[in-house]
Amino acid sequence: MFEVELITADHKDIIHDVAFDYYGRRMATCSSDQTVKVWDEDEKGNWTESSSWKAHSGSIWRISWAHPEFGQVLVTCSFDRTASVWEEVVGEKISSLPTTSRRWVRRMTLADSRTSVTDVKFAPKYLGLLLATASADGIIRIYEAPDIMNLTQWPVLHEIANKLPLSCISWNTSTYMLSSQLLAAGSDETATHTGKVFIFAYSESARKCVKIETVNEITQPVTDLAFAPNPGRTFHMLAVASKDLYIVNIRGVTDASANTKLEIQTTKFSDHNCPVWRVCWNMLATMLISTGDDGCVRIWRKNYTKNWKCAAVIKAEGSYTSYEPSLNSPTMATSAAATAKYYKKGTITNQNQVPWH
Amino acid sequence: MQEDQPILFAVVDPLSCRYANTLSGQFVSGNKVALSAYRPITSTTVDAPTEFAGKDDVLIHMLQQEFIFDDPILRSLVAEANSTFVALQELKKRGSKTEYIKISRTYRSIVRACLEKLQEATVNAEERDDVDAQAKYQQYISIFYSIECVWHLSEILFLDPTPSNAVVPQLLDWIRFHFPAAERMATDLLLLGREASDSDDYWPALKGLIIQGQVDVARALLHLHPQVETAHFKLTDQILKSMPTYTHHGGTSIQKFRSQWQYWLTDTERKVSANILAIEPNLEELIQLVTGDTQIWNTQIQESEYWYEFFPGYLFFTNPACKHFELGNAANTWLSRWARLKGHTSNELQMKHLDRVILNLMENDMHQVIHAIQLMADNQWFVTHLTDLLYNCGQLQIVGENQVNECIKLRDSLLYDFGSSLMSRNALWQLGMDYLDHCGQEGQAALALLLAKIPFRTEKQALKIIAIAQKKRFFEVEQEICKIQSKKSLNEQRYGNALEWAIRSRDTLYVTSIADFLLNHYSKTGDMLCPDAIANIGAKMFISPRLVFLVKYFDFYQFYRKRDFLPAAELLVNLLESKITPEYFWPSLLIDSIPLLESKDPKILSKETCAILHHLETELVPLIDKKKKRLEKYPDEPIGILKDYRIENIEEIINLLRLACARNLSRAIIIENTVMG
Repeated sequence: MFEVELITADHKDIIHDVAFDYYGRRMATCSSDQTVKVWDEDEKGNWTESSSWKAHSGSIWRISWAHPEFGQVLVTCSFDRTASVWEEVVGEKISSLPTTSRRWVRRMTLADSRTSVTDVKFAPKYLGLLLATASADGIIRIYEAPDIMNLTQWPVLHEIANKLPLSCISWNTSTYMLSSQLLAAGSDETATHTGKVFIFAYSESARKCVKIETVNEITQPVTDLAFAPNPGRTFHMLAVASKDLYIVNIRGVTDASANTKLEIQTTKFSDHNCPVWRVCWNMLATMLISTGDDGCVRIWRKNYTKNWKCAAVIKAEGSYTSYEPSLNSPTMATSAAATAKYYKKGTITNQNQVPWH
Repeated sequence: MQEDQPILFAVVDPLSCRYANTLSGQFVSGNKVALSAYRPITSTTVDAPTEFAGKDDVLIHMLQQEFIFDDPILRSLVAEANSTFVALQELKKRGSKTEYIKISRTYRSIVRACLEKLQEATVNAEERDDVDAQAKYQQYISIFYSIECVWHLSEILFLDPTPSNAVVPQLLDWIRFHFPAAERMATDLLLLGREASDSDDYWPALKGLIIQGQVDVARALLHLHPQVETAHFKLTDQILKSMPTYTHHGGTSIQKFRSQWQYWLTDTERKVSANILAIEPNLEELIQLVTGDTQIWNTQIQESEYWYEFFPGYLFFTNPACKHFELGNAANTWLSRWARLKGHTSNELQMKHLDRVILNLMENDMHQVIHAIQLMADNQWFVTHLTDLLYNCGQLQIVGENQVNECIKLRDSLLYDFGSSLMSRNALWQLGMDYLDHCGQEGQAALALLLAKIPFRTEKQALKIIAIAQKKRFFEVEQEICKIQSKKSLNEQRYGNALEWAIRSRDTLYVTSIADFLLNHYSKTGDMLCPDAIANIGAKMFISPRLVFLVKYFDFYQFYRKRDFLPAAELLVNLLESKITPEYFWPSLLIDSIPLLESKDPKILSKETCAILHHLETELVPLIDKKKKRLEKYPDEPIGILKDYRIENIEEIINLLRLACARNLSRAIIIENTVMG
């Protein structure tokens, strides 16, 4: 059964991305209204806006948090062809207030792209303070802050040009059985029927990042992808949002001549029956959320035999009338009968709703 | 295992329902989900406000699975069960049957104690007129009552099988516990003595006792009746007394028992048909129950509420030696009869969740049982602990005989999910660790990951997590927390703290960057930020060459301030020679030498003066040239070393230095040679 807490975001237009910090206690939202908002959760679980500022001169597509050992750092990317790095600084303590004032300062504008910057992601922390951007002109740029105490310098470390426009990017979080860190990018180009998911890695011999693999099974436009967190798994998982939802299992294998290569196995999930726009893993990669074009979010669970099944469908409704009765009057019997995992709407008849004795 | 349909849930979000919009979801932490309206975008999307900008509210819905263990009563249940869980793991699957039964009973007694507390809380809530709390506690009672009931039956069937596999006597115990009305009435009546038979409860109690197979108590109650000496009472008593009982430790073979039983039954039926008992219909009914009379039992069924309520009693009088493997069939036959008499068209129709779990248990269908008890709205507490217990005592093999491996997978995955769900809860994370500790490699990895993600606000909390990380040898978790603390302190301008945490992290790069920060600050402002912390670093400085430089430079700075110029000069020269001076610090270091060089009585010998001159020409001058060239090339670039420096005129400084060196050299040579001479 679900408990719902409603937050009025006060953005003037639709939110494009919601990102949570390492602990899930801070939330950053970015919108077509060109502003970024940061929200903090208090001890009682209430979310309040702690900062809000105009960050770009175009829609802000994505936002990403750096690992807290680099401080409170955000990066945003926008239609205005830039990405910006933001750092929260503690101001002078004002004696009348119980807490010190905090504000977000723009540390750097990454203005190398000539087209809309479609995605931006910080790299896993063991690589240092790195971030990757993807642009509509197909260029991936990897930037590094060499001095983690001074975020005003972000030289470009690598630049990878691709033939197709890029819509999304994701870093792998683990290097188990791999010779290098993996970076995946997806293209939402619609004209060609070639693979739309590309995997890049650093090549020791070429001394640069190169494309090492294309996932040929996915030829439809890709709008989002995400590597799963990897606590102790022997293979890597990449979720891909395309015409359907895909889960790509990637295994690093070493051949006889000690070269590592990737073994790729793709599974398609067509439950949405419509394009899938976004994907998101939970902390331990035991669950996955997919955003469909049908107004529904699907939550997928991995069962003990390691198969993925859709466990819940969450639907948006337009009006409150049909909503309130089921929310306000869950009788004791129905709430006890609701399955352990999620609360069901009162209108759905199901054998499990027959009350316990 | 049956396929489940996904669960449907709806949130109200008008913006999501607008044309071209949809709903999007993100995981927060644990299993919390954030939902908001979404407009699909692609790399060709043109930037324009959407048609609904400023019209509909932009909402974020935080969805969270209901978590019952935040309630103090249930929290203590989790805590107590956790120590039993740990004790169970310590048996390492090699415990004896008695030990496992003891564990099972401990778990059950924890549940029972919890039920009592919940009962009390309900009463308290009722007194306070707190309807919500009352409903909540009643819901918990219904959940945990079911759990106890199923656990008890599982214990009988799987943990405590009798040598002969006969189940009826234990089923009677189970049913007595869960339907205690007859027994309670009997206790009250027995206390009344001779007046018992006047009570309205007298015959119902007797019937209830017989239905639950409590023949001895029933006889005791019969003896309280004033007419006990009459023929029909005597006959009843005699029938009950002579009833053969099947006990698994009695030594009677089952064949012998069956013939005894048949003989007794025929004899009793003959007596009943002789209408001796007709004088007292109540007595006749009792004896008809005992002989399993179809008609009479059918009448009873009509009065029962739950299908299994009279089932053990019926078995006791009709199939007392029933074995575990026969139980499923017997239960199904009984259930069909029960459903027919209750007027249900199909067995399934009116089966409640608990009813079905009990049937599955009797059918020995563990797969289905485990599946069903996952839906108990207890955040998987029961299914995790019961599965683990059955696994530990080797009884989970029942699940799939051809797929033995599945058992451990199932058990590990339940532990993994339960442990991680506790660990992502503020108050319960330490309890969650024990479950992850016992589910293999993946559990350990999840433990390390979740431990690092426990939010800490104070230094004390950070130290607590670090202590656990050290015990578990999660070096990376410890390092990460130290670095986060260091960065936090730095932002709060608590520099000494930042330095100490950085050193504690043992991360050379991180320590170097903090030392750089302090040195940079000093070279720009002349202000040493955290003298006490630097003074106390000691041998730990060797973690980073930059830190060594910082400490040594600080020593110089101390001597200099105390006007202890000779050791200061010596240290300075050592630093110049050390090859660990960071590039940005050269100007600062060389300028520090000016006052020593200009001292009337020389502090620096001629050889060292030459060395200073040498470093000036080979380090600082090229550095300045490099900067100048860069400045010509990129005039807009922020000027690093030169402009930040406290003295504007670099050329002048260089000249000053050269002159100081020359003057000191001349003085030093004179003195040195004079002394020599």
